[in-house]
Amino acid sequence: MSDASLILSVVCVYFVVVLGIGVAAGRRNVTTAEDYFLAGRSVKTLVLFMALVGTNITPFVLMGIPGLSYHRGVGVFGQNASIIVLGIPLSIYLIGLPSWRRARALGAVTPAELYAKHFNARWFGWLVFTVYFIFTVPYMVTAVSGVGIAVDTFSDGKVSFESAAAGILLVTLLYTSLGGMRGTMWTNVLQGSIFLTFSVVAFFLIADVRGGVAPTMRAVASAHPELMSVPHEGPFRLGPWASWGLGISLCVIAFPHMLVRIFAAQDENSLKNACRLYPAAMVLLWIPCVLFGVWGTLDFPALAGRASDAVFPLLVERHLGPFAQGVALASILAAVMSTLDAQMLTLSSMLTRDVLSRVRGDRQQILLGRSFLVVLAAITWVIAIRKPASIFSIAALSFSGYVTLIPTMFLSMRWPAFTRTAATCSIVVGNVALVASHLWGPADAALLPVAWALLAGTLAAVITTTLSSPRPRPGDATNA
Amino acid sequence: MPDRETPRRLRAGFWVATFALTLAHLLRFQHGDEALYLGWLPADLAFRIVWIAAATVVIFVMTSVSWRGDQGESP
Repeated sequence: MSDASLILSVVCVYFVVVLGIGVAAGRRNVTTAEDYFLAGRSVKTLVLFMALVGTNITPFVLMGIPGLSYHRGVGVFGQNASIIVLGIPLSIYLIGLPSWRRARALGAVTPAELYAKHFNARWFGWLVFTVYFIFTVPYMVTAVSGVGIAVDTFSDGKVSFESAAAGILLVTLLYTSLGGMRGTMWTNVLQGSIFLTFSVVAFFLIADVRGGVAPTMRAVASAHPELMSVPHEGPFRLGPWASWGLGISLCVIAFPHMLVRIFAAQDENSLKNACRLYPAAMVLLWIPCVLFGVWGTLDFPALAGRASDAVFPLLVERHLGPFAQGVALASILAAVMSTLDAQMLTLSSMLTRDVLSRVRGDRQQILLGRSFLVVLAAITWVIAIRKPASIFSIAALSFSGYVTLIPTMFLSMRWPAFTRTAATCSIVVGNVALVASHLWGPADAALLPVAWALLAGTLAAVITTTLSSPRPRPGDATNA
Repeated sequence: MPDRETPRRLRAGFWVATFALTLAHLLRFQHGDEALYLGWLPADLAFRIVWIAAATVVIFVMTSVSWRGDQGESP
């Protein structure tokens, strides 16, 4: 069997297993919209944890972070990984927990539905859906781009970027459509296990081939000492460092596909346990990813710009055999699909339940949701094949956009006086500030656009709440 | 110390520790140290690993004590 055939076989086995899980989940009593979109709110610790990690980890980590570390060194770990170890569990506690309680109390299935019911205004759900849609599609593009780059590398250009992107979207579409939320969460357990295990195993295998971890690190320190320390300029200055830390910590709870996973938790203990397990998963994944990028400078010293996004697959191809290359590709596909499925399902559920809410009946909603998945996949593919920017740059834009929802998400659950007028002002002002600072802010500004957007959105929320009348309580009137 | 006081103090300790960790995250990194601890571990990476260990303890306190004290209904 040739190397290419072996790689392809490993990937095909992975696809068959994932599709099998989707079919099995689909056969298990998917009759109501709540069952299809939220797995009947019955997800326990292990599946919830793996689903959260699987949803959280994308090619941004597996390919974008090695690509970034290749240029910026080990400081990328502190810049990105350590702060989210604290930030994600803290945001689950401060925002996810009250949202989970409120969603159950109101019978809300989607994030947009939660806020529409909470504020007694259907149009508010449309506003939230619009923001989610605008910032989720680019994030989906990063996932599909990661697959395109990886397949292109492992197949030596024999499988085109366009074909790989279409293939991943098609398989994800199939099992998501068949299995709904339950299917995606079950597959996330498999997918999370694959990429967590492989990143650790590949770390030690590649180190072993290079003579061990210590000699490899010393070789990098000798050839590129600047990669072993945190510099004082660019993104490592205090302002950009602090604002990026703020953005990357807060954006995860603002992902609609993360929040909807939290809604699916069976009880609070499952959420608590997921928080406790989070640091271990982050360390296991992020340290290898950062060091892959740093080590890549020894083998591939001339990768310029976004070409460094391919450094992880290049390392695997250089140092490991075809079977490991197949598993590496499967693990990248797993990271992509475990996020892509949640994003597609969440946007689809928000469209059918919140925007086109006149559609009555669970079966019609599910059918409409499945149709929207196809449209969404087509939009993502068309944008991805244009290769608009590096994975990190596109993801940074998406993350900043999600953060504009944070004041509304936090204050609506924690401040009884917070009104829907204030929430609307906060979202609009936050997004205007984000766009303005992106377009007109200086390149070397003290703070990144995400910090200005969060500050403006928070100020707008607080000022408008103090000036506006109390919101009507749920049940006082029918939805507007 | 009365039993009733323990969770309250732990909750306060959780917020103080969270603030201290955030401050450490912001201030400790600007050292430009290129040394390798144990012959292979970059100084900043070593610091981050210790920081994460401390954050893990804080998360455990959060989920065990603060979470239990936050049983009120959202608005």
